[in-house]
Formats: sequence, C-alpha cells, structure tokens
Amino acid sequence: MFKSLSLLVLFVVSGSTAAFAAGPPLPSALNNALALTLVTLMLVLLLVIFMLGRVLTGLAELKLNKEKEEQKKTVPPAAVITGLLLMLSASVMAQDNSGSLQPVAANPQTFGGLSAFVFYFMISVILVELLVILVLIYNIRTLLRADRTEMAEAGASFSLRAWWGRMNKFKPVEQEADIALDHEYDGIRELDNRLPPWWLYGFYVTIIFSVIYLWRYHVSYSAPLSTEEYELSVEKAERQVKAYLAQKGETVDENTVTVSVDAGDLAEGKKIYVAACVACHKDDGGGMVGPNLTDDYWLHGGDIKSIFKTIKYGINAMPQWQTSYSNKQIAQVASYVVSLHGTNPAGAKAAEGELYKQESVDVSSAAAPDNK
Amino acid sequence: MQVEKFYYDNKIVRAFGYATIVFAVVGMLAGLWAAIQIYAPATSLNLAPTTFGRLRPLHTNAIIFAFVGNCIFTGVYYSLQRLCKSRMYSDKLSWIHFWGWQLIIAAAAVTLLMGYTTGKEYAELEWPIDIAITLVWVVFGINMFGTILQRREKHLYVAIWFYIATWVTIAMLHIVNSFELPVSFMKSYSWYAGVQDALVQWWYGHNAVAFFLTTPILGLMYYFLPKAANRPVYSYRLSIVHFWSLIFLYIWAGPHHLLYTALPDWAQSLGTVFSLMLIFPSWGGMLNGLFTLRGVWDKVREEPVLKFMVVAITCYGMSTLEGPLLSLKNVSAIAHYTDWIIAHVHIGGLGWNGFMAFAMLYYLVPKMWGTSLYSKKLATNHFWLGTIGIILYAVPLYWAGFTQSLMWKTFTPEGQLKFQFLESVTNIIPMYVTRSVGGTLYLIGAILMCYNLAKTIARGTFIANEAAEAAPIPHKAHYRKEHWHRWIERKPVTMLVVSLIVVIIGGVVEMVPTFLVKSNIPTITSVKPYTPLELQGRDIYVREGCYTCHSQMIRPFRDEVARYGEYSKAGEFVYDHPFQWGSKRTGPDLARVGGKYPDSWHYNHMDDPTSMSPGSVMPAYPWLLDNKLDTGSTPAKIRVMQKLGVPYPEGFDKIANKELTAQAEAISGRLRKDKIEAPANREIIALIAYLQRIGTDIKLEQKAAAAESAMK
Repeated sequence: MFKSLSLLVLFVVSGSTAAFAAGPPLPSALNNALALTLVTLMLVLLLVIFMLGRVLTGLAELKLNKEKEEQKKTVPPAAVITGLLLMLSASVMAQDNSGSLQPVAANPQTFGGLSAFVFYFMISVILVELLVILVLIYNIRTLLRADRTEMAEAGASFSLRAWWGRMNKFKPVEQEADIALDHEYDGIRELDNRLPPWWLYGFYVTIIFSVIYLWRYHVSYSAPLSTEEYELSVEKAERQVKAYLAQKGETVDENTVTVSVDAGDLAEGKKIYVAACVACHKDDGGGMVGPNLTDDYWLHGGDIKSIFKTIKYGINAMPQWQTSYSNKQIAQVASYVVSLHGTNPAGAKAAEGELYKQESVDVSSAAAPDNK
Repeated sequence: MQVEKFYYDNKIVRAFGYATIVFAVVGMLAGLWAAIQIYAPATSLNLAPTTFGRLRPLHTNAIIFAFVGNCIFTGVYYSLQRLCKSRMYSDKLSWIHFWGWQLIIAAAAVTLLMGYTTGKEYAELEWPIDIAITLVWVVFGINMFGTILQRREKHLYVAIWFYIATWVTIAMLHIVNSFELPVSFMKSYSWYAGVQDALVQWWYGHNAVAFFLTTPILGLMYYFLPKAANRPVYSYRLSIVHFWSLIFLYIWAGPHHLLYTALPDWAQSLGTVFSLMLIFPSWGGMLNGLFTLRGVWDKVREEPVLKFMVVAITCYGMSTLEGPLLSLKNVSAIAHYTDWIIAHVHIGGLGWNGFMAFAMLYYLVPKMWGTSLYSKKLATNHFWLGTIGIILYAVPLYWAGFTQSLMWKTFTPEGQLKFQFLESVTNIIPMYVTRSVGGTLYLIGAILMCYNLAKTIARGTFIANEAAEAAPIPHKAHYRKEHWHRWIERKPVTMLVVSLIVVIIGGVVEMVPTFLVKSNIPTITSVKPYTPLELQGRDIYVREGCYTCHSQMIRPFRDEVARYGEYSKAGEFVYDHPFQWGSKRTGPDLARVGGKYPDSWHYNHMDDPTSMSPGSVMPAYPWLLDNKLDTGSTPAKIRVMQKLGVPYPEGFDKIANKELTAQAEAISGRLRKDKIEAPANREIIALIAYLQRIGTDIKLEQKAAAAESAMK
C-alpha cells in the first residue's frame, strides 16, 4: 500500500515536472488546450502503465513463488519489469529534455499553437507509452495463459468477472478469514480489504485534474472566466449573424424601413401582432395597457421609422422586440400597425402624445377629429 | 470482568419510526400536489396557503427534516445503543428530543403555509423555530454523546464516526446560516446580503444535502446493511479513507450551485474542483456497501430489505457521480435552473434516502416486534412500484430539463431568440404529467408499506426494553501496537473536535475573503436602498415564495442577455437581505423585470396570469388585490435594515410611511389611468413597486454615462 503510494507520487511528480518543463520556453504551452490534452493523456497513460506494471509484478511474484516451491530456476520475470520501468523513466527524462531543446528547433510550422517539434515529441512519447502498454499487456497475457494451462482451473479465456476481480484486488470470499479484523460491533465484523486500485487512482486523477483546472483559470489565465467567455460568444455570434444576413441580402433596418402595403407582409405582420402586441394594445389596436395605435397621436413618433424603432428597441413600458423578431418581421408588424390607422375601434383609449399627420397613405382619417 | 445486564430502549425507536412513516406520506403528498400544480395551476385552489410558492417549501422541509430527519433518529437511536452496548444516556432527553422535533415540524408546517419564511431554500423557517431547532439539536447531541461516553465498547464503529460528523457539522451549518435580525415575532432579515448571503446559503444548502441526507444515512448503511446481509463490512481502511476525505471535501462544494452567477470566479472554481474530487470519496461508500454483499447476492433476490438497499446505494452512486459532473461549468450552463436538477435531487431523495428508510423500517419492525414481516411479496411489490416510480419520475424530467435549456439557447440565424420563454414551458408539460405519475406510483408503494408494517405489528408483541449484557471497559486498558486510526476511535471527543476542524476549513477559505476583500463585490454607485414601499413589496415577494419559480440572476450568456437584459453584477445585490437569486426557472428570470411592463400589466397578471400571457402556468394571486398592506411594520423594518448596514438616513424610520404612501398613491394613479381602480393601501401596490424596481438601478448609471457622453 505505502509502497504503491510512494511509487505513484514519484510518477506524478515526474509527470508534472515534464509538464512544467514544457512550459517556460514557450510561455503559452501549458495554456494551450492541445498541449494540456496531450500532457493529460501522457499522465493517464503513465497511470495505466503503472497499474499494468503492478498487475504484472503481482502475477510474476505469484508465479515466481510457485516455481520457487517447485524448483529454483528460470529467469525471474521481474527482470522484464525492471527493464520496462527503466524504459519508462527514460521516456520521462526525455520529456524533460524536450523543454530545453525546444527553442533550438525554431520551426515556423505550428500545430494548434505548439511548435512542430514539441507536437511531434509529445505524440511520440504517447506512442512509446502505448507501445509499453502493449508490451505489458502481452506479458500479462502470456503469464496468465501459462498460469491457466498450468492450473487448468479458471474458466475459459477472458472473463469480465475475473477482470473486475483484478480491478478491485478482490480476495476470494473463502480466504476472508485472513483479513478479518479482530473486533466486532454488535455482531458486525470488518474485513481489511485493500482499497480498490481503480478507485484510488481515479481519486488521484480527479486531484490532478483539479490542480490543472485551478492553474488554468487562476494562475495562467489561459481559460476564459465567465465574462470573457460571454464576450467571446457574443462576438462570434455577431459575426455569424452578419455573414448570414449578408449572404441572404436582407438589409432592412430603422434607417431604410418603408411602409409596406403588400398583402403578404401585412398578413405576417398581423400574425406577429396577435402573438405579441394584443395583450397591451388590444386586438383592434384601440389600446388598453398600452396606448391607442389607431389615432393620430403618438408618444414616440408616428412615422414608420419611429414605430420601427419603438418596437425594436422598446421604450419605457414598451418591451424591446429585437431579441424575439428579425428586422424584417418588425418592419412587417410596423406596417401592420400603420394599416390600423383610422380604423376608429369601439372603446378605444384616449389619445396620448403628440399629433402626427400621416403623410399620404390615407387622407380621410387625417381629417378625423380626436376621439374625445 | 463482571458482565453487566442492561436494556435497550426500543420505545423511542418506535416513536421515531412511526413519525418517519407519517411524514413520509405527508411530505410525498405535498410534493405530489406541488407537482400537479405545475401543469394544472387551478389546483392551487386560489388560496394563499396552498399555492406552489408555499407548498414547495413545505414539501422540501417535510421530506428533509420530518421524513429523513425522523428516519435518521430512528436509525441512530436503534444502532447507537447496540454499537455502544448501552441504553441511551437519558430517557428523558430522548423524549424531549422526540417531542421537541415533532413540535418543530408542526410549527414549520403551520408557519410555512401562513407565509412566514426567510426566503432561503431549506432554511425557510423563521427565527423562533431556528432557535428551537438549535436547542433540540443540542439535546440530541448531549444524549448521543452521553451514550457514547458511557459505552461498553472500547472503539467507535464507523457508523458512529458518521453520526458524530453529522451532528457537529449540522450544528455549525444551521447556526451560521441562520444569523438573522428579528423585525418582529416571525419576521427577520438575513444578516448577510446579496452575494455573501448566496455564498452562505449554498454552503449551507449543499451541505444540508451532504450532512443531513448523506453522512447520517451512510452511517445507517454501515449498521443495517451488514446486519441484514449478515456479512462483514468489506473494507475497514476504505471506511477510514472515504470518511475523512468525504467530510473534508464536501464542505467546499457549495459554490457549484452558483456557477456563472455574480459570485467571484475563484469561489466558483473552488466549487467545481472540490465537487469533482468528491466523486471517489462518495463512491467509497457505495463500494463498501455493495462489496459487503459479495457472496450473498443470491440473498438479494430473496430479501426485500437488501433489494431496497442495493437500489438505494446504486442511486447514491449515480447521483454522486452526476453531481460532480453537473458542477462542471459547461454542464451547469445547460442544467442549472432547469428540471434536470429536480431529477438529480430526486434520484438522491427517492432512491437513496427513501429506499434506505424503507429498508431500515422493513428490517426494524419485525425485529422490535419479535416476528417476521407480514408479507415479503407485498414488500417486493413496493420495491417494484418504487423503482418504476423513480424511473418515471426522473427520466421525463431529464428530458424536460435538456429540452427546455436547448430551447432557451436557440437563436434564429438572424440572431433572434427562437422561442418565447412560455413556449419552452408549454412544450414540456407532458413531461411534467409523466413525472407526477411516477411520483404517484412511489407514493402508492409507500402506502403498501404502511399496510404491510401495520399487519406485521399486529401479529407481533413489542419488545419495549430489550435485554442485553456486556462487560464495562476496563479502566486501565493497555493498548498494544495498533493501527493509528484505532487510537482516535477510542476518543469520541477528539473525534468530534477533529471532525469540526476538518469541516471548518472549506467554509473559512471561501467565506472570509468574500466578506473581507472589497474587490470581490465591486461597488456600483447608482445602486440605492429600496424605498419603504418596495421593501414591503419585497417582503411579499419572499412571503409568496416567488423564488421557488423565478430566479433573479442573469448569467453572462448570449441568450440570457438577449432575453432578460444585461447580466447581473455582484454590486447590484448589496441591499438584498435575503438574496433572492432562486435556483429554478419554472417562470422567467426577474432580475431586470423592472420597467419592462406597465403597472397595469402586473396588476392584471397577478389577478389572472393567463390574461396577460395566455397559456401561463403561473398561479393566480387574487388575495394580493384585496389584502391591506401592513404599514405598521415599516419603521421596525427600516431600523433593522439600518442595523444591517443599509444606509437609510438617520430618523428615516419615522418618515418612511409618509414616503410609502406617496409612492403608493402614484402607482394607484397610474393604474387609474389604465382604467384600473386599485386603492393605494393594497399589497399588490407594494409588490408592483418592488417588481418595477428590480434591476433598474444599474440602468440609471448607464443613462448618466450616456448623458455625459452626449454632453461632450
């Protein structure tokens, strides 16, 4: 247990020094998402190697003991392990070197903000790690197979149950007595099983993740905080909308809007009016909570451009609608409002605001008196 | 060594057990009713006490403190005696604890329905009840420690570690979060304001889940699971590692309820990483539970008690994985304020807490009545009804939450929000209906259990005092070389102190800088205290539980800024005692509702929400139109606010009501213009005043800045 702990600490430390070593020469290396992913991947693979290594050592020990009992001969597989570990530490050292070597290899070509050298180096470290894992798996399998043929006992090939048992370092239920503690509480006994390895390493991984997380947000400032994230997203969205509108050729806004008498536009406008405006202005435009839209008096201007602006941006109690409707739709509903002019609905609200004479559209209503 | 004879007190266990069963049904009924109100608002009966905003706190408080609370006490009183080989320290204290707790529950039910609330989730109870809770909790503590100290067992079993940590941490959380200044009997203002109040509240809220719904139940699991399965606990060292890491890490995780809010970023990040690190300590408990069943899985197929426990522990594992994932900022961005969270907590509530309680009751009743369970088949039916109920409850809500969030965030290519808020609500109504079906099944299961247990009780004879014997601990015991942790297991008081130190750290590191470092809450000069009328209106907002459906916190997202306005700033909330950020948006955010609609819109909307937004599921609040505003409380409220540091001028309390009347008259006049006759002395006027104020102060600053730049 403590042996494994100290080993792990060693690995983590060597791993993280590798990560930090990659940092200084290219200040953004650790801030770079790709670099971080790769470093994390390296660390995870290191952990995998470590776990597999432990499994292999365990297996080898078992086999060794058995063989010792039989007769003392054959090469102890531990040698293989030492070799592997050596290889591993070499790769870790190599990682350390990458940092100092890097400025020499001033390569204009970059991969996601990493210099080509660092990128390829990291990739090759990962490949080496994968290779080591393969070798380890191969060794474990060979040992297991030998075991199986010898014992000719455990069920055929790979079984999920057996794998799960190894992942948890389960002790067979029959051998429980060996690890039962010498106390009991109201008849409850306790075993002293080891911590499930995947559980323990999982815990370490979350701790490593947390350190990197805090580092990125609050030390290196390489990940955007809430408000920065917001600004970036708005910028991006604005670009997209602009591109979309340009491509579509839709350019109407408060400076260019004109009254439309097109039946299609007015029908669309009416639809929106019914959905959004009737709650305050009533279905006939006579006004209720909001002002009367059919008379000659306007609180915020009665020309189409003013009406468009009032709808789009809102004013005082009038909500803004630019977030709900496009400019084209606002133009349609504004035209519909203009079309309501002079309809003189029953029970309309008293006039508010300033007199505005509509220019040409209909002359008849311009002469109509106040609805007082 | 002389063996002593003594008796375990089963009577107190029976009393708490009965209370558990009663409040399970009551709490679930309240929940079901509230759930139905979401798609059928008319079921609020148009009565203030039965409207969602008051019913929901009743549901949460009843489930947490009445149902689970009594369940904890049942299990602790049963197991502690046996693990300590001693009767409870004092029968008198046991009964004071029992009746005290039930009285608190009764008082809570009445006052919550009457609208007495502090407006802080899961801590809604007003100050006199807070004090009562503290006293009863101390009684419980004395009784528990008295028992531990007179034990006949040298070492404390892991279940007791969890009980100790629970007791000390809940005491700390309750006291710190309940700091409030009374205005009158049953009305107080939180000591803290805005961002600080939010931080303290969610430090409390999250750890109420941790130390009321999790650690004591883990303690129960460590006793009842090995007993029911007749197996040794899987790993003693796993118990040690996961116990200490769990209580240390849990306390830090509160800010994950406040991601993307106006809480300083560093505190948010701490919330995220400590939540993530919680996965494995939590899973330690799950593994230790499930692995204890190694070798007896065939028994699980037979024994209802174990069935319930296995699903409970699995649900615990699922929600403690989900919780940390929800604490990642990008997941929180989707899930927060939606029904996803409701689904998440109910996996924990229905699955972990509910099923553990049922398992314990099915185990205890036959034991204490010296008989066997009346019907295993009925219990198995209960198990399946409950399990299907959980699935039918949670799956639709996950779906609903995800759908709604996506609808909120969808823009048209032209850059407009694609859906109105209301559309996102009406779209998920079918999911709400399914959820209430799931809840109904779960409730039916619980009722089956009541019947089953009643039948069991009828055929047994109650063993009020269970005989037992054990030798006392030798005075001069010699402890040879032992595992280092065995030492602290002999020292309950040291255990208590060390636990307290371990759980204090996280809170201190997060709170002290937030309270003391100015830059965490930058001042906004245009933010001014509420006028007396607005303050009264705000109290009505709190009273009606508006925060149970409406947030007041616009997160810095493109869609929220487009929908609600400028994202919320820390400096805007400095006079908010208590904060009202909310945690769920069944209705839209209100952080910038001020000035968005005319006064008459609010008036009509409160009278009948569907008149202003057809299809709305908001309940009507017709009583606000008739109730007269209680202006007698104004001076006292102003004085308390002044004590809390709100800069009203000296002597303002004396002229506050004059100002209040003037503002009310103005609103009444505006309403008259819109053909609404509303006397100025009605509650609705105060509420309108408050609603029209929310989030507008910052606009004044922008206006001033605009005017200044225009001058140049």
